[in-house]
Amino acid sequence: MIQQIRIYVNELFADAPQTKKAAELKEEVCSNLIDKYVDLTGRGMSEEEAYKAAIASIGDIDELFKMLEQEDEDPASRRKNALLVSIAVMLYIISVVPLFIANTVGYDEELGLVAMLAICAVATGLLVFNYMTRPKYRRLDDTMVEEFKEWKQQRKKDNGTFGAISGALWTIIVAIYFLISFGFGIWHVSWIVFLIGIAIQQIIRAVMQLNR
Amino acid sequence: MITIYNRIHDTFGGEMMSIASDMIRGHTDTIILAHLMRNDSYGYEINKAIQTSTEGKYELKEATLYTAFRRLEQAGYIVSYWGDETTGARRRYYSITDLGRAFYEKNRAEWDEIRNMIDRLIEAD
Repeated sequence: MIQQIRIYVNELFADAPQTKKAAELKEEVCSNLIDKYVDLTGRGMSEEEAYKAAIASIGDIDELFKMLEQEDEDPASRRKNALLVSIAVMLYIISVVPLFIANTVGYDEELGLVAMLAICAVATGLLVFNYMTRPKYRRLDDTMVEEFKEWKQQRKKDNGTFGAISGALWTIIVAIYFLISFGFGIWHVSWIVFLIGIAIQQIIRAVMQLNR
Repeated sequence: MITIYNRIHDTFGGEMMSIASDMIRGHTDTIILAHLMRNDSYGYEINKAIQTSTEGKYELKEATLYTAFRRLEQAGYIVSYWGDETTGARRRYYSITDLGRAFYEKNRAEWDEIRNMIDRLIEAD
């Protein structure tokens, strides 16, 4: 039965914002309900009845979720986030410099390549670190739980359609690439179709977003 | 909004109970602070104390309780910490701050004043 209380609370919190505060609240709700359950059964109530009484005492949890959502993302963590991403991007740009230097100064070119890869590795490491430590806060799914569910479903559907369209798009683009390249023997310019493909994909995405 | 659910053991029926729970609802914060004045405590213990001292007539909904906790915590009247329960789920304990004590005393004085006033106002003889 205690396990059932945990399951119930988990389901209750399925739509809560994914923050540390929400997780703590969940744990708090859980421990108090279990305390209540243990107390009631200890006083001779049947397990079934005690479970029902515990669940019934929760009340309207939506009010609490609203409160959790109002507590905005910590500005310090947002600054950290921005700083790490900026540094990583900067490193990516700088990473080609050793190659040029090695080329001009006339040192071993491989040394320049190694330096470049090392810088890229640091930049990637920063991005991964940033992603892992960032609280997963979904600011968009505000207000009501129902509205959120609707939004989630809509997004799922849109993603499905978009995935199907881009799947077809890229298959066609690869076919065009080979046709043009083999047909006219212009391998040195035909790769441009991939860039065009990306542009088309972005346009489709934009059109879908505008329609919604 | 905040709902205090009342078990109606009362022979006067629902009306009287709902007036009483409306009045109690307005003092949720003070009730919680009063309990924390005695000792640090956690959600269920506080709720059970409320039930015991009202002879089972009132019980706060969990949601009401947590909303009040968050509100009091944000205002700096209480602080929380996690217990180190080895079995089952961890409990979150709350502790009153000096600011909270001052707020409690202020609310308490206010209530005493209101009660005296109403006592005098509804006196028939």
